[in-house]
Amino acid sequence: MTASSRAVRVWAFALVCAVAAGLVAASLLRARRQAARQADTHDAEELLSSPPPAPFLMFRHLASTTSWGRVALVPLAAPAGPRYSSPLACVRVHYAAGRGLCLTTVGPLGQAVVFDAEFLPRRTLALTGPPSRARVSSTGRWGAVTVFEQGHSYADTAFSTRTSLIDLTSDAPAVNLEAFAVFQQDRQVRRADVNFWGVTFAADDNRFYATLAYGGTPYLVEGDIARRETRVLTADVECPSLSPDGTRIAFKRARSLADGGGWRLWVLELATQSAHALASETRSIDDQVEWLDAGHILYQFPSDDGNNVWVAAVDDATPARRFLTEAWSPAVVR
Amino acid sequence: MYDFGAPSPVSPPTRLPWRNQGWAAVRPTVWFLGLTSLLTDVSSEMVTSVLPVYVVMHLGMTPLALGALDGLYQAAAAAVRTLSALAADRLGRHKAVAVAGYGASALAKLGYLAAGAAWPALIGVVVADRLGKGVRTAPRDALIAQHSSPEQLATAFGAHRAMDAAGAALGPLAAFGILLIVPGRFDQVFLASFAIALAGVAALVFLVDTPARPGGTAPVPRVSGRAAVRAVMTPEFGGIAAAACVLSAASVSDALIYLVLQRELAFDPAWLPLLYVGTPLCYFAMAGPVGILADRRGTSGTFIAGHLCLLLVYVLLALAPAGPALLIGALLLLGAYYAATDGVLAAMASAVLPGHVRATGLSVLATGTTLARAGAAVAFGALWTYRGHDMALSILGVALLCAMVAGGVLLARVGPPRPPDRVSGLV
Repeated sequence: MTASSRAVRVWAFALVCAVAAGLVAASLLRARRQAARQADTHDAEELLSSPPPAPFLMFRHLASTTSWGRVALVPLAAPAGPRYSSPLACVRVHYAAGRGLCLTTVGPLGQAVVFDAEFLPRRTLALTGPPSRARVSSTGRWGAVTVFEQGHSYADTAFSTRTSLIDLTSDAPAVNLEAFAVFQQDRQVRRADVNFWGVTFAADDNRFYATLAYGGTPYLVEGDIARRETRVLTADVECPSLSPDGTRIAFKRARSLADGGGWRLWVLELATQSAHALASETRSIDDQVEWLDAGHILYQFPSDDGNNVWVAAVDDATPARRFLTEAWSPAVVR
Repeated sequence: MYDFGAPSPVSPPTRLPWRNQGWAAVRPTVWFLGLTSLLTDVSSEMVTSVLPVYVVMHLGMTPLALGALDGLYQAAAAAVRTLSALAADRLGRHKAVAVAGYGASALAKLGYLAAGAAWPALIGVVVADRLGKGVRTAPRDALIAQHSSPEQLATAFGAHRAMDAAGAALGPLAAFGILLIVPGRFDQVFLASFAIALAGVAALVFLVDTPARPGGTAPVPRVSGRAAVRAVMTPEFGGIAAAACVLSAASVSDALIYLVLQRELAFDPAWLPLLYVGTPLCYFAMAGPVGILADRRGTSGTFIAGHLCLLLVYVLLALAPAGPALLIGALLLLGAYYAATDGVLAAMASAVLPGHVRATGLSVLATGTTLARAGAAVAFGALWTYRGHDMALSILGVALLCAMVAGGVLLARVGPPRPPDRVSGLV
C-alpha cells in the first residue's frame, strides 16, 4: 500500500470517528434539552402540599413532570385528584405502618432503601440485580425484595431471581430465602436450582407466602420466618398476594403459548384450594397484584396509552378499568 | 500487578530485557484489529450491562425468556461460526467475513432502538447481535495470525486480547456514565453503542491491511469442505484441540464462579460490581506480558499454568474465608487464567494450522471448547444441586488436575516448546 493511500484511509477512519462522536454528543445534548423542557412545561402540575392521611395509595409517579419517577401519594377516596409528591425516587415501592421499602437502580446493580413516614432513608442495602418485587408486612416489621440475577442458571446469559427478607426495624443483615429449608409433603427438598420470588406477608408477622421454582415449575409455598422453613402448597402459582382477610391469594399463572403466552390473573381460596381465573381481566398481566379491598385488586399494566394502574373485580366479570394514570407499583396503605 | 502462580515455569518480573522487543514485534495491523475489538467490546458491553434493567424496568417484561433462548443461540452460533470460517478460508477473504460479522453486530445496536417494546423483535435483535460475534471471531483470529511471525504469535494474540479486555471493562462504565447524564434514556445508550460499533467497523475497514499472500497474485487454493477438514486435522492440531477440550471440560466459567461467591459464601453484594469490572481489568493488565512470556518460555507450559490459576480459584472458593482477600485473590487469578489461556490457545493452534484453513481450524477449536465448557457447566450445576458447592468444587478440581496432566502429555507430543531466545527479525 502506498503512503498516500494509507493517509487517505487514516483520514477516513478519523472522519467516521468524528461523525460518530458528533452524533452521540448532539443526541445527548438534545436529550438533556428535552428533559429540561419537560421540567419547565409541567412545572404547573397540581400537587398536594402535604401527605394525605390514611387510607391512601402510594405509587411511583410516571407522568412526565418534574416529579417523574418519584414516590407519590393520593387519597384512596380521590385517586384521580391531585397527588402529593415525595422526595424519594424508586422503581418499585411498598409501605405499611410507618416503614417503606424503595428499590432504586442507583449504582451499577441498584439499592434497597428502607424509609420512614417522613420519607427519610433509615438504611440502604446493595442489590445484586435489577429490582423486581417489593413487599412490606402490614405491621412494618418485615420487608421482602426480589431482584433478577444474571448468570444464575447454568447457562451464562440466563436470568434468575433472588429474594431477601429484611428486618425493617433493625440493622440485621438481609436473609436470602434460599437459606430456608424447603419441605414438600414432609420431605425436605435439597436442590441448588431453587428460586424464590414474590413474597406476600400474613398479618401475624411470621408467616408469608411466596413463589418457589425448581425443576422448571413454580410452586406456591407457605413460609415461617421464625422456623426458617417453607412448605410447598400447590403448583403453577407466581407472585402471590394475600387478601386483607387472609383467606385468598391472587396470583399470576403462565398461559400456554397456544393461548398467546404471558400470564393470566387467578384467585385461590386457601381453605378449599380451589382456584379460578379472573373473568374481569383477560389480558396478560405481569405483576404482583395489590388488594384494594376484599373484592378488587390493583396492578400495573403498560399499554399504548401509558403505564397505568388498573383495578379488576375478583368475583365477577365487570371489565377491568384504569384506576391511576401514569402510575406504577401501587401500594394500598390502610 | 501480575501473579502467575508460584509453580509455573516463570521468571520473576524483574527480568524484562525482552519486553520492548516483544511489544515492538506486534505489527500495526494487529494493534488495529485490537482497536476494532476494543471499540466493539465497549459497544457490546454497554448494551449487555443495561439490557436486564432496560427489559425489566422500562419494558415491564420478565427477562426470563431471553435466557430460555440461550440454548438455541448457542447451537446457531456454533453452526454460523464454522460455516463463516470455512467461507472465509475458501474465498481467502477473512477481512470481508470479519467485516460482515462486526457490521451485523453494529446494525443490531440500531435494532435495539427500532425494536422498542416489541418482544419478538427484541429477541431477534439479541440473536443477530450474538450471531455477528460468531461470524467474526475465527476470521479475525486468522487475520492476527497472518500478520504475525510464527515466533511472536502469543505476543500478538496477547496484545489483541489486552485491548479486547480493556473494551469489556470500559463498556459498563460508559453505559452508566450516559445514564448518569440523561437518566432513564436507554435509547441514548443504544445510540452511543451503535456509534462506537460503527467506529470499530471503520477501524477494521480502513486501517487493517489485507495481507499480501505468499503466492503474490496467484489465486488461493480453493478447498472443498472435506479437504479442509483433512487439512485441519493434522496430528499437531488434533493434539492441541484434544488438550484444550479436555481442559475446558473441567473449567467453570466466571459467571458460575461469581454465582458461588454470591450464593454460598456470605458475600456482601456491594462488592459484586468490582468483580465484573475487576476481572477484565486484570485480564487487560496481564494479557500482554503473559503473551510475551509464552513466546519466550513456550505456549504449552503457559497454557497449562493458566489452568493452574483456575485450579487455585477452586481451592480459594472451597477453603478461604469470605472477605476482600478472597475476592482480590479470585479476580487476580481469574485474570491470569484468561490471559494465559484464551489468546495463548489461539496462538498455539494458529502456529500449527496451514494458512489456507486457519479460520476453519480455529472455529472447530472454538466449537469444541465451547461444547466442553457447556458440559462442565452442566456437570458443575448437577453436582452443586445434589452434593453442595464444596463437593462440586472438589470434584471439578480433581478433574482439572487430571486434565492438566493429560493436556500436558498431549501438548508435549505435539512438539517441544519453541526455543525461548529466538526472536524474529521481522519487526
